[in-house]
Amino acid sequence: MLQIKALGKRYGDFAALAGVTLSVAPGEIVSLVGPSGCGKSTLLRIVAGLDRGFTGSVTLAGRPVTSPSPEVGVVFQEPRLMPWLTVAENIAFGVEGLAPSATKVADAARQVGLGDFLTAYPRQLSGGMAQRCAIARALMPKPGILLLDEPFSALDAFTRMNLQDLVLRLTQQDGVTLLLVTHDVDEALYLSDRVLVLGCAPSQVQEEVTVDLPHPRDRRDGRFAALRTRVLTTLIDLQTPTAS
Amino acid sequence: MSDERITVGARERAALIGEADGERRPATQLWKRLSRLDAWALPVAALAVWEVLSRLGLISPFLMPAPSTILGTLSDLAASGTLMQHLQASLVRVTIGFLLGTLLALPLATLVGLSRPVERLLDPTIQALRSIPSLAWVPLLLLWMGIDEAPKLTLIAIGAFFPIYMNAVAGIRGVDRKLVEIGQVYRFSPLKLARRIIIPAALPSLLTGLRLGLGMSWLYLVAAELIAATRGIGYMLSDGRETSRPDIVLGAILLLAALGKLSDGLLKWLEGRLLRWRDSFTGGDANASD
Ligand SMILES: Nc1ncnc2c1ncn2[C@@H]1O[C@H](COP(=O)(O)OP(=O)(O)OP(=O)(O)O)[C@@H](O)[C@H]1O
Ligand SMILES: [Mg+2]
Repeated sequence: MLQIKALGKRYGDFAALAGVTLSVAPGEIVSLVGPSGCGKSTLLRIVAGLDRGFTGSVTLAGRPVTSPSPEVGVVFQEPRLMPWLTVAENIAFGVEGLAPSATKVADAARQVGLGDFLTAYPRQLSGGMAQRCAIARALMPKPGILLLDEPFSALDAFTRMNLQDLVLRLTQQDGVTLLLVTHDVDEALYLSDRVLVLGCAPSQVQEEVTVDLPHPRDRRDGRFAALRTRVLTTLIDLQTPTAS
Repeated sequence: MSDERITVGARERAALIGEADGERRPATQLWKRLSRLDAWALPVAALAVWEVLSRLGLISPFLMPAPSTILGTLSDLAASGTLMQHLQASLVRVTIGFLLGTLLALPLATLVGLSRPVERLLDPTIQALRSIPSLAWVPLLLLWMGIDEAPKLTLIAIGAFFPIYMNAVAGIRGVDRKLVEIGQVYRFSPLKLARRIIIPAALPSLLTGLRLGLGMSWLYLVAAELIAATRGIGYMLSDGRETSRPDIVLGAILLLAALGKLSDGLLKWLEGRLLRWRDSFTGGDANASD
């Protein structure tokens, strides 16, 4: 689905990414974890077609990425809803040209638990509701791959677990590929087929942890412990040199 | 945090519906209505004190006639039909001048706000023009256009132009880049980006500009009518001075206050309608809900 080879990105003299190589298979769920400022968001933005001027190659379903594509859905850390539009209008925002039927929009809203809030404005939503609305908007054009940049990091633990399950439910039925950036190791392990640890300076994939557990998973599953230790060990090793 | 469940909590729904319908208990409603009158307290009290002091002979009627005298003068003028002529002349001028200024400022501001090259081309010149006190244009306008309607409308348009232009550009440049990015994700054309994201997001600032511009229109209307006019509220002012009629001067001032407030109220109402979605500080009133 997604192929990234020797991806590099510079901001002036600063190398935000230096030769990252990774690939994501169709329908796979892959998480990216790593220290702050190591270019995870940058990588996601490049895949989304929002950042140009990179070196190396990024291909989506065989086609090089040069600009945003309807195949790619994006959910940011903030909901980024248009405050002057209602929930229904926000959900339909990315597919306006296709004139989605009102029932389609209402269905999408119901799937994220906002069926009763079609005419509400974003200011009337809680943080979790707003993020649910953003997820519905991102899925509306039926993307083949969904990119999520710390989508749940501003939410409390319960809301976060709910939204994790919600995203799984909404994407697994259509086999949507997921690439998720997160700081939450448990979240990465619970959701993903593979967890990639991105290192700093140079920004490269330092460790790859395969989570070979079937969905639906149990968060209390003891087998997560060993995997968590592996991811954390790499993360701590990465932190140590920069701290000194 | 139970209302974060995917099934919507009843409490959440009730809160939302209550807000949408603006339902309030009757007692609260009465209090709200009364508290709306608080804006009148100060002017009414001032007029009353003024009236009493005049009746007691503590204020000279030749400098500061009583409110009742002014009201009488205004109703005399109204009866003879001249007041209507003055009002009409001024209202037409302000309306046309303000619309001219708006029609020029908004497209220019949109272009400058949306495009760096256009900004580099136009903005320095516009800023230079802005630094000229608008009244300095008067002699030139009179030379070019005579003393007809044209120079007056132009002066009002110039006065309205700058606050509208400045606020619209600032509004467009202040739009959250994160929202614009959503438009990029969905491959909006530049036109659609402007129409669907940038202009709506800049609307609050744009409307502030319109209100300031309307205020400026009244200012320059008076300036224009003081200088050369045979009709209008500004003419009433200069006519009252020349004929030593403070009641006419003060009557014209009161008319200006009323008209300025009314026209601003109209825009404020429009602002409230258009910006209902806004989630911002509305003032420190515990009962406030917009
Ligand atoms: N527009 C930009 N201009 C200059 N430097 C930038 C820009 N965007 C990002 N950077 C730099 O690139 C580096 C990587 O940023 P990025 O946002 O991708 O990190 P991240 O891994 O997502 O961090 P975090 O986990 O804190 O979100 C940072 O050091 C940042 O300073
Ligand atoms: Mg980031």
